[in-house]
Amino acid sequence: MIRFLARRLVALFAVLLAVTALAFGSLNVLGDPLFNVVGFIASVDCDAVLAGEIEDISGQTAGGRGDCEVIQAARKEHRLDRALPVRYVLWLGDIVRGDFGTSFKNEMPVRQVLADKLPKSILLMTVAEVIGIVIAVPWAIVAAYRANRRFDRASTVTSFGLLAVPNFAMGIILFYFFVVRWQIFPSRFEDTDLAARLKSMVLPGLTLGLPLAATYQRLLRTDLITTLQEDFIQMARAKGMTDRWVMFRHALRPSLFSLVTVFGISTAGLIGGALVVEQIFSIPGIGRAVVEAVIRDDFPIVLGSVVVIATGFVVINFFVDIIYSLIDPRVRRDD
Amino acid sequence: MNGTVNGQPLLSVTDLRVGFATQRGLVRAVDGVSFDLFAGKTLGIVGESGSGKSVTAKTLMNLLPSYARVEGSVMFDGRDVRELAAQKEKHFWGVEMTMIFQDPMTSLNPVKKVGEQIAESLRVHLGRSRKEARDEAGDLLETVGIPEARKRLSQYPHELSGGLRQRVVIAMALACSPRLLIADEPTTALDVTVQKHILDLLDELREERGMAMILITHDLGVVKGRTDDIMVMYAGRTMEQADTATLFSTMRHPYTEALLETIPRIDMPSHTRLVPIPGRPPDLIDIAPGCPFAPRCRYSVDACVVECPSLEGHGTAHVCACHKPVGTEAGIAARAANEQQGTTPTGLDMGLFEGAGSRSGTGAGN
Repeated sequence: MIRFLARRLVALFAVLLAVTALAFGSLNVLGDPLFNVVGFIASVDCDAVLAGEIEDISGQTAGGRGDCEVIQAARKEHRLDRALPVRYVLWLGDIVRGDFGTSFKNEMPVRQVLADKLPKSILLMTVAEVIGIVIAVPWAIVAAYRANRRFDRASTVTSFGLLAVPNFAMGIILFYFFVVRWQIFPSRFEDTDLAARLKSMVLPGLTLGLPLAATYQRLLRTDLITTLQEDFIQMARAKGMTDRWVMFRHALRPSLFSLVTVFGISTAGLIGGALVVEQIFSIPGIGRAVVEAVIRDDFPIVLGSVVVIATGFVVINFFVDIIYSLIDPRVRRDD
Repeated sequence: MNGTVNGQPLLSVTDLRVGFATQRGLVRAVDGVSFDLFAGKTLGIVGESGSGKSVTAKTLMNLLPSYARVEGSVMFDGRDVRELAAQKEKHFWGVEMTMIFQDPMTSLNPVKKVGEQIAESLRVHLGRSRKEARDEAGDLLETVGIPEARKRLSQYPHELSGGLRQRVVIAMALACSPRLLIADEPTTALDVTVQKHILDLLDELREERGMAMILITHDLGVVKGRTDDIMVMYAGRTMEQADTATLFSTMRHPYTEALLETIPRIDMPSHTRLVPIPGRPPDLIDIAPGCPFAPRCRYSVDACVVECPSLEGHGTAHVCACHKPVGTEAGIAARAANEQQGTTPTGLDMGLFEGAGSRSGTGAGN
């Protein structure tokens, strides 16, 4: 078990390194970081200016600070004078020490931006997943117990219905009824106390959670039906165990694999991927922040978000691996 | 039959019929089966797959899906088993009557410790505490001959070999000291070397505990010498039923004879050809009026296609459903006529049986 965990932990760090390297590399190669810091003067040919071949126009008017001096200061500050791999390593060192840099656009520390947005996204994710699981598990158990009977057939239609409605439609429908017409829930995120925060999360949580519940229900129902046909279920029945006992003590646990797998993927995806819902319900979460930053070429924000989201993804899936081994002892083998 | 001195049989099955409604029609999986089993005795039920032997067992165990249609009576020690099923009796199956299955690899829950799986019967049915149940589970594992029994309690099924797993399954079944154990092909999935150990173990345990047993198999070799009585099933019906010694010495049904010819025997000269039974078991949806075995039978005559033979007595407690029983004058004549013709009235090529050696008249020599 220890070796199993150690191996997973090593894999976790390897994935994080790969993801950050890819994000850092692509953002630096695909765009021109200098342009994003200093704007159009990035195109000034500083070598020529220093050689006296052309004049540094702005330097003559604005207090003696020429374009080239601005450019060189920016280069130094953002380490643009160093090679890309060196920059990556130094940047990674900063991240590890908790320094995520500052936003290009408003000079805000990225760390502060993330600290402000991340909790909201995590709360939304948690509410959505709780709703999804709490609805899906009992639903799937009842449907699998009476597979292909009336309730199960109705469930199939319902779950496909929930899956077919896109996020924005579901969000707008809920928003219209519960906010506009009946005014049960606030129209935007209220950050006063925990109760208010939770109340603000009910509708967005449902918008994300209902399709999740439908997905989970489909997966768990199918796996349960397969498990219920196993010989060991028949053996348990032959031992005189009741249907309820067989379902909860024998069938449920070995049927959780698909559910747990998709749970891990969707949970991680929700950290940064709830953009539409954050927009509809005016939640200042990380999904919106990333999109805005990408549009404005605000590299430090994008990179900081990528690090946080990737870490979340990897850590959640690390726990999913641990859950696998708790579900099925055969996974624990150290070979 | 044997054991009548005790009076009442432990298990009495009368005219059992089980059908499954499918889109194509009603599948008659079991079609009028009757037998008695006395306390401490063993009944072998023999037949090919699809003969209805497993469905019969599952009917007794109340393991059939809800769409199965069951008719007939099943009495266990004066209690109506079908009535118990309807009332959802909680402490009958697993306590009085229990069953083990063919494949020990899949009969155990892969995610539960062996000890828990044995202990749960004790806890649910007998109300034992967690610790008591665990201790008893350890004792049971010792009883079924598992080395280092206590250590095994906290192991998972995948950590045990096939033979050990089947022993665990047997320990599970024995937990509440049932009076009837149904073993459905208990050794079919095991190595030949392990098969004998498991069968011997079942015999020993049955003897020690005075337990009755139904041993279901497709292999007449498995039941030989181990059971008191044998019932041969085909297409959901009883073809022949007798005490074991009688059945092997003077078998009457051509199907029984054919089954025996499929088994290799140690006293056969080497390179003796084993004779498979030609053809396939019939479709159980549209059952033809005649004998279900007629299309595959060497003894068949015109009457076999038209009229289904009923079970008739051949001496004490020996019944057989055949118009031309093996070893009778009529049977010998019918087979001889078919051999001369080269084909039976159902169009079966008699050439398929060449080299089988005629057993008719002499019974099964061994």
